[in-house]
Amino acid sequence: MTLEPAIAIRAIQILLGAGILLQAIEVLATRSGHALLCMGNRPYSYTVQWLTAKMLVRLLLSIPLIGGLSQTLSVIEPVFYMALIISTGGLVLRFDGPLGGGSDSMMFQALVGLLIASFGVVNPILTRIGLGWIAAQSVLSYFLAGLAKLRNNNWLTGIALQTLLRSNGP
Amino acid sequence: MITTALLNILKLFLPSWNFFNDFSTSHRLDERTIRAGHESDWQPIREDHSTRSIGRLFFNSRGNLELLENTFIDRAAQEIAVSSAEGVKHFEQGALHDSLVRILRRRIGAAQAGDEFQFRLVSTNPSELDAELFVSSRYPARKEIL
Repeated sequence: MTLEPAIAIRAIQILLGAGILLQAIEVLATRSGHALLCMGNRPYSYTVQWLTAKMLVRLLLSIPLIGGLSQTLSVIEPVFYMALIISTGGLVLRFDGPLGGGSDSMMFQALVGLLIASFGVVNPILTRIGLGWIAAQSVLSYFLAGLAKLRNNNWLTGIALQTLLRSNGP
Repeated sequence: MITTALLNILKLFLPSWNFFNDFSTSHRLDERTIRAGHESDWQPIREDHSTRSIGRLFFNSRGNLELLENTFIDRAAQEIAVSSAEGVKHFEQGALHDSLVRILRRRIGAAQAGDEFQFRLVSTNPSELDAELFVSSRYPARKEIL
């Protein structure tokens, strides 16, 4: 079964939009704690305001992504993705590393893929390259994590699992 | 600083996806409070969340903040583990150390005026004894953040 590129892009947009929306709401709910981690030498109140503004912008940008970007904003679609990519990059730099680990890395990869795919109006091959990028990164994320478990003795002996279960987590 | 920023951008475009390579060691942050010169015993910093629920699968803002804080703790432990004595001194003056102090102040919560706290980073491994990686100086437990 083959999936039409347009349907695949739409599905990715909805999933990505929902992820960005949820993350923005979560960070807004705990912005005081997040600000303590990323304030550096800047004043605390300024950092809270910066984080609030950033998350509100991302929240607003996620809505057309969920609602149907290609119908409403097709002309400025690449600009829209670039705004989210720059916003994500800014957060990563401020937190001196990925904000929430693998999920943020995957969000970034999906945005890059959608940006490439949005140039499909110029050349349809770019749509396939963009989707291929997202597919490749998705497969790699699971494949390399699985490979690491096969190659690392601590995973094979169960020590890593013990550590994982004893570690702090939600 | 610019090099770190460029490296972070490069990591964003080319993630290694290898965060499960070595999961044999975890790190813990212990704290003790000092009140009127009396030191309490070391105790692990408390977690804010104490119950589990299905709803947390979809919305878990406090849990995700704590995961992010734990990332900072792991990063600090890695920085110290590969550092010389000079490197540890550099760590104490760095932003990561300041973040740990702020994490502690947030998690310790209520404190009286004049209270101090101290923290230590501990490496834990199921097959070995816990190892103390770093013991901090003393800091005021209450501090106005502007």
